Amino acid sequence: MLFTETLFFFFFAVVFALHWGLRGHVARKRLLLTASYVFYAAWDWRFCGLILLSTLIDFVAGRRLGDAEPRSRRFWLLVSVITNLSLLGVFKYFNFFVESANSLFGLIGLGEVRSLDLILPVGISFYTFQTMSYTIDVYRRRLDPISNFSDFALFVSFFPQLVMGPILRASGFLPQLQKPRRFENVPVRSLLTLFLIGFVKKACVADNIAPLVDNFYLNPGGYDVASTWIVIVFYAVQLYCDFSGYTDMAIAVAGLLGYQVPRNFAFPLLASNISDFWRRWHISFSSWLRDYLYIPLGGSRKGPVRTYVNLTLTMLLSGLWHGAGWTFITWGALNGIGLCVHRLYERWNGAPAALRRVTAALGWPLTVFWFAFTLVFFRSQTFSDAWAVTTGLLSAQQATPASIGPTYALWFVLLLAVHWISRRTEPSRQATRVPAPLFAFAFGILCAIALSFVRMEYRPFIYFQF
Amino acid sequence: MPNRRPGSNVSRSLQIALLFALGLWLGSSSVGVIAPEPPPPAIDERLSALSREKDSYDTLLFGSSRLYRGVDPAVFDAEAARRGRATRSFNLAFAGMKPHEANALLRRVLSDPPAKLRYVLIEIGDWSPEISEPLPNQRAQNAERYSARALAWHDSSELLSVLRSLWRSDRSPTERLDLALSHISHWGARLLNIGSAARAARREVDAKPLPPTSRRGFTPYVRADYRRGFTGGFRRQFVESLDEYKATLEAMRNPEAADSPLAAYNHTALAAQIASVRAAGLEVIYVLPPRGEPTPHLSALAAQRDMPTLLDFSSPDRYPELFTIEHRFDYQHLNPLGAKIFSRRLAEEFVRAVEAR
Repeated sequence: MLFTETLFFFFFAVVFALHWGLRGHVARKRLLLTASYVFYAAWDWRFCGLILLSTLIDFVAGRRLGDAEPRSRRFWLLVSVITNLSLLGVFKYFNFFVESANSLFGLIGLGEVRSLDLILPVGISFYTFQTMSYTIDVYRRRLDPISNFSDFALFVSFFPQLVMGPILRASGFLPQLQKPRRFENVPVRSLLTLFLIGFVKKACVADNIAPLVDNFYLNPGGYDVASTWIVIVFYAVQLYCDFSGYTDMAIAVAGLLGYQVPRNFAFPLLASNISDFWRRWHISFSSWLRDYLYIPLGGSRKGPVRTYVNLTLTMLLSGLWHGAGWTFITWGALNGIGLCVHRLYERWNGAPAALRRVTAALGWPLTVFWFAFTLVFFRSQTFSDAWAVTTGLLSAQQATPASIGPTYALWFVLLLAVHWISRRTEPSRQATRVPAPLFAFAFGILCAIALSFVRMEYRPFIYFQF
Repeated sequence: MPNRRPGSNVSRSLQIALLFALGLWLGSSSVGVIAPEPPPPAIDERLSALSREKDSYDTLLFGSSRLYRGVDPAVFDAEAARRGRATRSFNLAFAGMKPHEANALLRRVLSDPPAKLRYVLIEIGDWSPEISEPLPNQRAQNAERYSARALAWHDSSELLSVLRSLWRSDRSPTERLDLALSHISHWGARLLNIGSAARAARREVDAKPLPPTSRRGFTPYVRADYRRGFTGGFRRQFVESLDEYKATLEAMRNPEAADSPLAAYNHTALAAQIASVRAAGLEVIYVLPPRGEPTPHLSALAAQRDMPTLLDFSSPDRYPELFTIEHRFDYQHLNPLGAKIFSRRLAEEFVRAVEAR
């Protein structure tokens, strides 16, 4: 059930009406919990057991962490972390490790280990990180353990963000479950506008770019230089619109039910450098890595060399989180290198002022192109594909029948202009100023225009695979 | 919209909902007026080819690739002339065109018919409620299912007709519901111009000129078709399973296969089609081409009351030359030599039927 599908609109209309129609706060929360499991079961009901298992173990671990002795507390933290990482390990990484081991065994003449025929449960990377953050926070005594199981279950499974984030923090979400939600406090116009923006990003922009990118990656060596550049930049736009579109819709859907979920993107394609970029891209995940990995590793407190190691290690794990494959790990490594280089440059006191001015001016295009280039490894199925694209960026191959026309470059400029204007104007905030009847009429017209740009084929969100 | 509890002001909520609906309707209508969606490129190209000498044609053919690949109007006209009846025909059949789509195209043509048009030859089919043919991969299937072509024929009249076909079919309730929802969503998409601007933009950006329609719509298989794409795949499947094909021919000869029921057939759609052609002052003749599977129920339609002429080429015994491997491209289609023979036989039966009246 995708946010852009008709079925979801019916589902949400029913949940919305029942939620605000019910009087009791507890009844509303139970409804949301049921709806969340129904939503998840619509993907594959078999994995509801998995999410329930994760919920149960972290709930129990959280309770034990609250009142146990230090040794016992460490034990319960390990139970939580090992369980969650094991779930991820089995469902997401087992075959990757087996295949990597088999390649190694092949080199030294050993037999093969059989891989498993497993389906990756949707959203597993998101909800396992979410529940782990809860137990770690309780362990660190930054959060009191929750005593209400159904509240905790709702925190883990809350359907607007269940399958693709933003990754919630218990400290931000659980307090919201304590207070009754009031419809009067819901900024409906603002949230509907945000939903429409997300819908446009996904269904009108990302889905229309997708065939161009898909066709390119079917034969990555068959295009000329200009086409290759156009496609790698367009893939960055596609990924951004696909993922941030989902997030916008998730925030809007949660908001319409009275709950706030954190912002996940802050116009990353306008970032002036790579560090700035990672503060604006997939914020809930970047901050998770910062708080639960980078800082515990020592962050920037243990000297410059250790800082670079920590940065690179964090980004490597970020790559591995995204996908079980060496291409994803390479993507993470390249971003780690980018961050290290930028940090080195920032700390170079002897940089001439003229150079500073040049890098300041070139910061934005360099950031976009670097990120777009790293995505070659993110998108390619194999290293040979990634190599074909990389060499295609520099080769002198002339236009081929498969080449992509320059018209696409104009679309990029247009999209960028819209991105820039959106940051300046924040349309979802402006919407609250419009009188309700006028908003309803204008919203109808805007929906009709947006619908005319929809690409109708079924295209799941890119991040579902993670 | 008001920041208040739903239900606290029903009339205000209704007012807001109505304003939204009005905006949606106005917006989608404006999209339709500002950028009206032309027929899907392939169909558009055929209609354009027809319109170039539109008023010279007196016979049009509608149907699937079996006619598209199988009937050469030049051969058909020459054979009809040789038998004393002058015709000038155009083949409007097209690959993958199922009866509901063909019917929508027929209605479109009949809304402004060629001045000399007298005969309409339509391939008789099962009024299958499927939106698209099963294709080898999900991506191609998705693209096919939501293509401009699949959307274009979903007007209100055809929606009702296809829902009737679905209701009569022997599918499971889940399948019926799934297909019904798909058809309704296609109808809604067409009504609200969903995706029309995206399709228009794609046409501009990815403009790949279609091969012009020559030979009055007849498109025989060429050498390249024997090698590439899905067509090549079907061809390969045929070549690799010739024994299966021979067994199918035997099954087609088996009289026991003739008891297939007509209960599931959408007679209403057929009757409406016949009525629409007759209302335009034209004669309708149905054609059952040489297919690759037994279709006794379609042959049995000839005996139905009020059924116009049905030219039935489905019997390997009566038309062995249309079923020999040398004359076939694959299970469903004739090769160019087979098409030549079929065009002649079709003209022969056509003239006989017309003169018998």
